[in-house]
Amino acid sequence: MTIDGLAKESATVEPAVVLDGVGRSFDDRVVFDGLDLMIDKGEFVVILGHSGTGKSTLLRILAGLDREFSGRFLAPDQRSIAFQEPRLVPWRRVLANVTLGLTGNDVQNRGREALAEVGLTSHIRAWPNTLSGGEAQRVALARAMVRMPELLLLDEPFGALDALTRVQMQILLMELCAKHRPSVVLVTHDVEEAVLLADRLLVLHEGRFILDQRVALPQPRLRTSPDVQRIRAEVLGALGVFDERSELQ
Amino acid sequence: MLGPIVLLALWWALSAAGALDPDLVPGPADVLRAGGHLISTGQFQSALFASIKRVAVGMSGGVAAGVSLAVLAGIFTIGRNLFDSNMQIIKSIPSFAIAPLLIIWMGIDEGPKFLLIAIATSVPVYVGVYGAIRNMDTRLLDMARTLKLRRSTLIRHVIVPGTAPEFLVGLRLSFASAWLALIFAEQVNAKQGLAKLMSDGRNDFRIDVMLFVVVVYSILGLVSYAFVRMLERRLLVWKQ
Repeated sequence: MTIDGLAKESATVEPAVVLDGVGRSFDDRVVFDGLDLMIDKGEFVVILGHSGTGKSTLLRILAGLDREFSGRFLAPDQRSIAFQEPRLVPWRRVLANVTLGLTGNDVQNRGREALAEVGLTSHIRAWPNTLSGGEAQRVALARAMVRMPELLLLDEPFGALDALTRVQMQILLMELCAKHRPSVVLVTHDVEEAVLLADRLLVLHEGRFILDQRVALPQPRLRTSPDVQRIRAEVLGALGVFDERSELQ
Repeated sequence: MLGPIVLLALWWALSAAGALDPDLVPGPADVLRAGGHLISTGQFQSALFASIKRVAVGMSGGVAAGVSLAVLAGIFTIGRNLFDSNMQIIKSIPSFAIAPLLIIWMGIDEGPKFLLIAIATSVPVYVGVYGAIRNMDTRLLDMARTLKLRRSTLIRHVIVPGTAPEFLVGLRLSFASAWLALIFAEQVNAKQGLAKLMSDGRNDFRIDVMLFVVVVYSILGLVSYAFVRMLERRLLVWKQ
């Protein structure tokens, strides 16, 4: 698994997502207003921010689940989303969950391949209720990837998993992205996860992006590497959190 | 099954000990003998067949209508406006109260009997399925929206199968209503049926016959229960 983070730096590719003055308010409370953003094709963008800053709201707008926004945005039609909870249909088996709504005569095989990619070939006929949290989230990823998304939206997809499973899932996600190269917008609270995965880091604060930083480190990244630690400290700083451990370096 | 067996043993023991007046409460042996006689003349079989047919026809129609109306009312606003208040009204009317009306309108054939049972059995499944759809996990429905499911796929694979637990609770109540409605339906001019056996028994002061019919009703109740349990095992495999 290697992604050349540097190669994309120079290339001027056409954008996959364009936000043009996007705003959203709930009753009187303005969550954000006039957000502009351009995301390149194949770019892995991570959005960080405190709770309530509107990260998930932005993702819901991009997913087409929230139409009460102002402004405009462009995004590919082929969009998939995965949430913090797997949101599998409990009364359909794993394979049927992955292929739900797909048409064509090759659907079963596509579903099987997607499940093989997330390492769940042996669970094809399992019921969602019998899966562990990590397995269920793998199914959710397979369901997202089988639709060959040009834009993959991830709303804290690993937030509810234990630390070990989370690391495995991060590696799996990087493999899938390296293979299928969708543009990705991932929302997370986990700064370290953000630095490990992102081509580009955004910090959303009080309705605007207060940090927009490219992370040009090659993959795979080690959490212990000084570069990762340095960027992590910078991002924490932008979030208003200072970690004295990184001051020591 | 332990409960009913204990009850039966108790009845037997009390009768054998002479604690029950055999003229008022015949023992199980007498009741069985009365039943045996009804079976040998074929009266029992034709009564049972007539009653089961009424429940089967009436209940199939009632349950199908209840589920269909619940799906329409649960999913479409127009369906909700059209059906939900009506069903709530029907729910609050004891269906037996309208039995005389049905007879006036439809005569004394099988029609009003089917209809009465259908009305009585449609309500519990309607309430269960409608409630299940209205309370369906919005996060799951959001997910379905992002998958851009066709409405028919959404209804068939996500919404309707998810109502199975509440449907089965409703179905259990529907069975109870069905046997009850059957008794009311057979009160008036039924030439065949369990209630007819019962009223014949009353007219002839054959308490053993009447008790035999009661035993048959309870067995039918147990069989219905077993049927719902079997459905549960099939429809709720995903739930373990």
